[in-house]
Amino acid sequence: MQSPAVPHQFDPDRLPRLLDIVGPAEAGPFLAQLEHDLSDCARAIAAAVDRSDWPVLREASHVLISLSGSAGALGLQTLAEALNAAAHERNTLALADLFRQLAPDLDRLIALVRVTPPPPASAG
Amino acid sequence: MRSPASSRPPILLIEDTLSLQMVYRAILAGAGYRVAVAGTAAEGLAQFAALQPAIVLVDLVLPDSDGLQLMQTMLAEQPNTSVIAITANGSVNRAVDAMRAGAHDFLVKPFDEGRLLSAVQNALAERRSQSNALAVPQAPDRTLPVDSTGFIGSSEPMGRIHATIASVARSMATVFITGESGTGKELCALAVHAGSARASGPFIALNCGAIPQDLLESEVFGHMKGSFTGAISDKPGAAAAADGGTLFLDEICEMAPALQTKLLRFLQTSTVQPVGATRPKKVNVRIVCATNRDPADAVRRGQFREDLYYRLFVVPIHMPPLRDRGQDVIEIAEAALDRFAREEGREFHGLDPAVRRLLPRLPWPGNVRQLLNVIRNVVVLNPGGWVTLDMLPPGLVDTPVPPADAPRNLLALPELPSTDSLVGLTLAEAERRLIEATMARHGGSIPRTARVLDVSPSTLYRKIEGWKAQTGQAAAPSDSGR
Repeated sequence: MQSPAVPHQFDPDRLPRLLDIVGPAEAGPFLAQLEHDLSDCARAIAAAVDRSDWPVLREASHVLISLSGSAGALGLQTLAEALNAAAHERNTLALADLFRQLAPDLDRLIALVRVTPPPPASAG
Repeated sequence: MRSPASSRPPILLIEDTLSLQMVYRAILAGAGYRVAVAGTAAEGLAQFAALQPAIVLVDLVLPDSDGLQLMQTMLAEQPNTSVIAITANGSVNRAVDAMRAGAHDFLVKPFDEGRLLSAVQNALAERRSQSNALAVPQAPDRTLPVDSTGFIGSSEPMGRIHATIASVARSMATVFITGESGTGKELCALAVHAGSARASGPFIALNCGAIPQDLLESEVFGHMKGSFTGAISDKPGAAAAADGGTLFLDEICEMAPALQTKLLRFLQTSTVQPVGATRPKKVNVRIVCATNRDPADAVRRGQFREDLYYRLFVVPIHMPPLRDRGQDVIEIAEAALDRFAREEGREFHGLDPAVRRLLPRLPWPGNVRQLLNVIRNVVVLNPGGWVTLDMLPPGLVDTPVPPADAPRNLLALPELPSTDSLVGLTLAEAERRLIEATMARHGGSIPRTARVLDVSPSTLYRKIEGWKAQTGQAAAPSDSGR
């Protein structure tokens, strides 16, 4: 199976570190929850861009800043910060361009999380 | 050794993004804390009422309510709770609002586990110090280690400042003090330190404008022996020396951009890495900083990092100029007269009515520092009795007193050299004349002079050192710049 493309400016150490922190017993549920949270952001942003729903864009980009940075997708974090600023400024001109860059990178992160295996639980 | 989780006070974590909630909970539980979690404001409030946690970590963006409002509700119910506000990078101004509303500290997502644990440990340490402070009777006279005469004053502006200090001193919030030179910014910083739970810890003051930029990094963060030419021994640096206390960074806007980046990193991680050291060291320091510039203007001009500005500009305190403090001038003058007379072994009865009428009307461009110098001059040069107009230093009585509605800052400015007066001088001589005249106009302050001339303060220090070397001059030009 082909590995998914990694997001731009990806720090490969961060996601494994999160898995270490939550521990092997929780790693599986954590990955599922992370994929779910990222997918929620993707859906919310895609829908809000179409109708310039600034409050939703502010909230979803706020969450995405944290999730992407925590998972090591630093380029995506920067784009989410720019989207958050654009939402605060109600900057319609910047919105479409930012979304064009952000959406594929977010898809890449979701795909990467989806195929990341949880570490095996240690025996005993 | 970790203490059992059950013996630690509970921590309430209110975070609606469940994957992040899992990570934060795991970090705290892994460090031995008892953790309760909530995903909404309503759930968080219910847990808060049931558990009475010592520490609450609250995301400022929640689906059912504003996190800031939730925080204020909790603090109104339990003022002793230490609230740590969580926000995302790009929304740091929300964290600033939270600190102003009483949060103990804030975390900017994404953050690492070290930063999270450090914030919690600092909050717990503060709580322990506060308990100890309550348990131990305080000494009746907690005099400040420096002259505090300038912080006297019952005027309305000073009343507001005392109230702000009283409300902010016990939090970890960074205090940003602004005001003209001589208004008492360092005394204000000392008052914040003295009123805090870390009053028994060190108070370390560093003037960022008075230290050459190439030495400033090692002054702030320290260095290891041999890390650069002249580093003959290990030096801890001001940040490490202030561990457990307060680090006061004066003239903060004079800090070079590269060091601003390091200061920001220090504020984000609570760790310092001395020059030449291989590992960072964790420290617990409260930052108070000051400037006589407009920090927002320094940001606009690109001289001060915006993200650092938001990190530092949490609780602003503006020290009013003495000319706006009404009868404080008399209170300060009388207190200084009493103290200086005791120090000099003289007996003064007080200020006579003509002096009392004059002092509040003078413009005091050097503020409290200038007033103290005037009173010191009077005490040293006169045997005692009532202070009369003829005892005041020459020139002070003749200082033009402005009509009530006149702008006061236009008075008695030393003249700058005219172009004609410079013709015939070498370029170096002309430069020196301009620098000296500008310094005279700005009360000898090198940072202010540097700003006017659009050069760095260290450039001026180098030039002055060069002049001293040429002439064998012993005394450096006076600079306080505060």
